[in-house]
Amino acid sequence: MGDSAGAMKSGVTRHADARAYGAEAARRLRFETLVREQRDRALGLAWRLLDGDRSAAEDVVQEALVRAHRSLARFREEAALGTWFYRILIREVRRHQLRRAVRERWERLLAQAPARVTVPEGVDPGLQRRIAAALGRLSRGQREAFVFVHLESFTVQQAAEALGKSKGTIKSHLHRALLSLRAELADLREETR
Amino acid sequence: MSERHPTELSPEERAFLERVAESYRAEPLGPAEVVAFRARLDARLETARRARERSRHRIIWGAPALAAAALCALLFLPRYFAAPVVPAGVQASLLIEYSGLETAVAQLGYLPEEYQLLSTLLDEPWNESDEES
Repeated sequence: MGDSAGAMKSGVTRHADARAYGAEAARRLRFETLVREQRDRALGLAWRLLDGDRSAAEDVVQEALVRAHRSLARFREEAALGTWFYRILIREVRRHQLRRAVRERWERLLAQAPARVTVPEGVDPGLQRRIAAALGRLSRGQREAFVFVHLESFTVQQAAEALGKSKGTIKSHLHRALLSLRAELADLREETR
Repeated sequence: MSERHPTELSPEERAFLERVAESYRAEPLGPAEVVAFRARLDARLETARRARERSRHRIIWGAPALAAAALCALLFLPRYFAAPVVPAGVQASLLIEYSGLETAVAQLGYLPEEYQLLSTLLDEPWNESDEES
């Protein structure tokens, strides 16, 4: 009797252990999938939102992945995993932008040279700088919507979910951003005609 | 001002956006960079895990310690503050002996009324004889 009770208890424990192990393995698998599938796109998005600052983009994406790893157990499948992750990422990007703005203000006050040098590698550094500057002059909402939809090919619905805004607001931001950029980069528009 | 859906862009607008997207994009990570990125990510995950463990230990040991301290305070502090600061009986007997009852009562004015009464009653030698008679 005692033996059978003990066996039953150990069976229950084993079952619970197996379940916990299974849940942990599933979480790990999901995280690996997230990293594999979203890493490059997330880096591209962060790079574009952070004015072409490569190391800042990598830092922000890694921090977002760490936060996602921590919260993955609480992920309830109410949104797509990607959309959920981009919501975390955009919060990290905004946090980084805020910190950078404060740091730059202090550096200006202390009359130091600006720490951020955004000369990314690429086709035409001059053009990249001009586009970065033009994007920088947009409002935060317009810039985020433009980068998500027009540069990273998210749908309006996905961008709205990730940015926590309505589809109407996203469309409005896109329209205004496009008008502004076409005016700022008029020569580029002429070239593409 | 009509606002169109992004899919309703004109060919010229599409070309403009393609040009912007092409000219303003991050270089993809090379194989070595992917490995370095993953190594840094793993290190950060480990640091975060250790920080979580530490905070969990703080809760496990800190909460009971805090509860015990609060219980001790709850039990002992009222006793400490309620205890009479001046041993009224001793002072009263000394006062009566050296300055008489009237003066002693007058000088015990700083004590609450009950203490004054109690100390004079306890120290009065004629109380016992009253009881006997």
